[in-house]
Amino acid sequence: MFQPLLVRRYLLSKAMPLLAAMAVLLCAAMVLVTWSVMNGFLNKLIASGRTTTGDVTISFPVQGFPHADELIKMLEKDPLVEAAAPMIEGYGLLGLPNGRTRTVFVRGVDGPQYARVTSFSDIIWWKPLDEPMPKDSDRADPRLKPDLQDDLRRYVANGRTLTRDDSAAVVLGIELSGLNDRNVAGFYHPLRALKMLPDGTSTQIDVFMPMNGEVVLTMLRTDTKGLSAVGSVSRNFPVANEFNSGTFEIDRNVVIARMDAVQEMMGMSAGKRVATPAEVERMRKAGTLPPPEPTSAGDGGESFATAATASAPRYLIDDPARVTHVLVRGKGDLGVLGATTPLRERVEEIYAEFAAKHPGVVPSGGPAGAIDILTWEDQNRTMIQAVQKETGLVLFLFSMISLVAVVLVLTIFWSMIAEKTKDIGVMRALGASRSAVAGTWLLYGLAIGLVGSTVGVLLAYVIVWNINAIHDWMGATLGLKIWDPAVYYFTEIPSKVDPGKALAVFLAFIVACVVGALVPAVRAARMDPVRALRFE
Amino acid sequence: MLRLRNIHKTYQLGRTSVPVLRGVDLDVARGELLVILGSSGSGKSTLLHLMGGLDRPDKAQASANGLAPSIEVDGVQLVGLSQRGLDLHRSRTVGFVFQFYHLLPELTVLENVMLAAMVDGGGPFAGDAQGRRERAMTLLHSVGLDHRLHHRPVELSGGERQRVAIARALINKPPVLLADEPTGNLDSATGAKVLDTLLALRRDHRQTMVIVTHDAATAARADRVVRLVDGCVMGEMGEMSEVAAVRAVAALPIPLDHDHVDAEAPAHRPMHEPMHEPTQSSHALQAAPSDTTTDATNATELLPPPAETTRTNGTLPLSASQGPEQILHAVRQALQRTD
Repeated sequence: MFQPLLVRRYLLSKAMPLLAAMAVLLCAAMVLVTWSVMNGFLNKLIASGRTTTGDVTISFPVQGFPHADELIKMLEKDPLVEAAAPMIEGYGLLGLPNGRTRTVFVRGVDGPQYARVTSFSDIIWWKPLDEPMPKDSDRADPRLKPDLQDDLRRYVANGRTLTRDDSAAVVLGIELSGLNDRNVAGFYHPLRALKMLPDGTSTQIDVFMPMNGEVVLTMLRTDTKGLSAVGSVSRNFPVANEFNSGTFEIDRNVVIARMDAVQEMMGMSAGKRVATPAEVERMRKAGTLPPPEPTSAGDGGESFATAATASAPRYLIDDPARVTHVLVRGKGDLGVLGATTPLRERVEEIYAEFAAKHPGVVPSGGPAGAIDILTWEDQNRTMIQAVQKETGLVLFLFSMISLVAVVLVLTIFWSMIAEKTKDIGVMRALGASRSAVAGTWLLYGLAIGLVGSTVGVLLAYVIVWNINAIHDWMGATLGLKIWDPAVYYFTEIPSKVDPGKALAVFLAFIVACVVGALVPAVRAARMDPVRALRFE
Repeated sequence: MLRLRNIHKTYQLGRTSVPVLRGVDLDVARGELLVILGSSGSGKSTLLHLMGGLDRPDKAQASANGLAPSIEVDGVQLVGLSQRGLDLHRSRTVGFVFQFYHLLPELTVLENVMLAAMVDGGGPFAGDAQGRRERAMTLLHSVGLDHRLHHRPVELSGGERQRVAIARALINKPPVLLADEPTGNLDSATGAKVLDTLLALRRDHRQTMVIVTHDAATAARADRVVRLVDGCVMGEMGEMSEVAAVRAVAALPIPLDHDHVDAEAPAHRPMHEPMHEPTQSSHALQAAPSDTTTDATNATELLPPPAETTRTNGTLPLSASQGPEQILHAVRQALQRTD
């Protein structure tokens, strides 16, 4: 085998093959960086979908449904289910300490139970840190300050229980208040806020949200059918902590509040309500009908009474507390597309069983049921599919660009074969077969592919691992800000390379180089040795 | 050892057919050193390529007389042999020495020599890296280049490069050596040394050898000399003295146009002489019996009188009264011009 010797010598003695290898390495790096960032974006999207909602969500928005505790017990008995937790979700207005008001998405949860289903404990931001964040080389993160550690521990406890000073409290998304400044290293500094005064002037206020921040939350209260608003309720909440889910949209728009407080504000806590005619009939048959209420006693707003039944006697019955969602976490790692389907099917079965126990009281289950049972994947399907399609499109485009590398290898090899015509004649004169000559050039292509792909993949790893630092550097020195968290959903550019994808790119570019070398190799093999020897 | 019959070769250049070999019959005995003398364009390199399996002769129906061609080398018929068979023939049976050395510039001296033994299916060292290396080093020692093993060809003189090429030709111990103007690119002193080396090694290895040349000094070392004129073996001579060889070379037809002329460029081949009407000088040589041992006197006698032999307008100004050295010098100058 003379081919390895020749290939080794050709590789090291000429600039052209190195140029070809460089083209290959740049293309390989470009494709892998793009693929990794897009894939990282998708993975973050997937992870974020589960961060605050768990794997499967049972929801009946606005109106809610009762007996959630019973459903949760049924769910937690199932071997596929790790934990389940109730949640109330609604829209609200949030008055901030600096006088600004924002529309928000309110989630009322039981802190400890919510933490069993989601990553709530992990995403609480103001907590003591032992080690700085990777890019915080100056250890400037306030969470590292020794004199703050006790306070931070208290803030964490407050956040987990959604309580501050024994009062129901809220945990805000870290980007919501606008009173935190994000450093390029990724941590936040509380800002000294300016509060607008009615006379048009402003005054500086010293607010650190988990310490002394307070907000005013206003929510709409609906009737028990959730059909119409019956008034708005406002309440002051101390801020227990802030959270950073890594998803800009959530961190900017979501307030997590204690469930009992939200339940009360939305009129979903336990109480009495007017029985529906069907319930009256059922109680009559069962002999459990309570004595009727005087007709003037109703407040009208929450009654199911209609004009036709207004004169009929009203019967008040117990109205158990309602929630709009039950969140379910499955056992094992379900953060992969398609992995939650068995869990969702099992939850559907359990819910159908649950609904059968409470006919007419909870939304029906089954395929045509009123309840929504969705996995995190279902909830984010539009976004996930958009990112998947975008990833595919970008990969396709870059692959097209990478064909340039193949053509470049072909061109370089073509001209090298012209230059090496005499060598080919010599090899043929020494007895090398046509296939051996072709094999030399294919091996050469393989070698260039190996060198280019190896260095390209390594370069891609270096770029992707440092992509946020590179981005920050570009922002600081060149004024370029490519990754805007407000546009791109996440606050950090994804920075992980999937080894499987790296291997795929590595192999694809080796194959591309061999393909690029194929036509010149055939040309070399078909050369007439006599003419080749006489080539000038 | 080598037996060629009815060998025709015509190159097709565009719409023009250019015949290069026109029915060559030739035998070379085992162990013989045959020199084929021929001027540029006479087809001698083409003939060598055919013997080495680098090229194929015209098929019978394409040739002038319609007889089937035959090239038998060491008992193997090359005509009709598969491409792979020809590859094996080149790697196992023949060793080539070229005028322009044809060393691979990226490889070292040692690697250039070993390369021939690394060809798949090649000679006795194809699968034996250690044996191959030792054989190459021994050969390079034999040609006096053991101090140049790791040099690149570009760092060697012309004579040294040709000695590397000789070592490369010998590494697979081929029974046949084919040399195409092995000293043609060297000055006379270096050429003589290289030729000494080549012939000594060939003698040691008892190889059959065919050299094509228009160098009288080389011809003078042959066991037998044949003359190729316009694609035909026109004169067959036995062993000859250097003077006779010089005169034989001098008698070769010289192309009128002094463009580069050789078999590889048949379009430029001189066609000024009638193929079937030998020149005066070739007539004279043809008249010599092939088994006659010629000497300077005989050769001088064979040449026409000075008045007739003096050729102008593209011919050499030679005279029988000139000494061998002068003739040789004139011939070389003329040949250098034609090359």
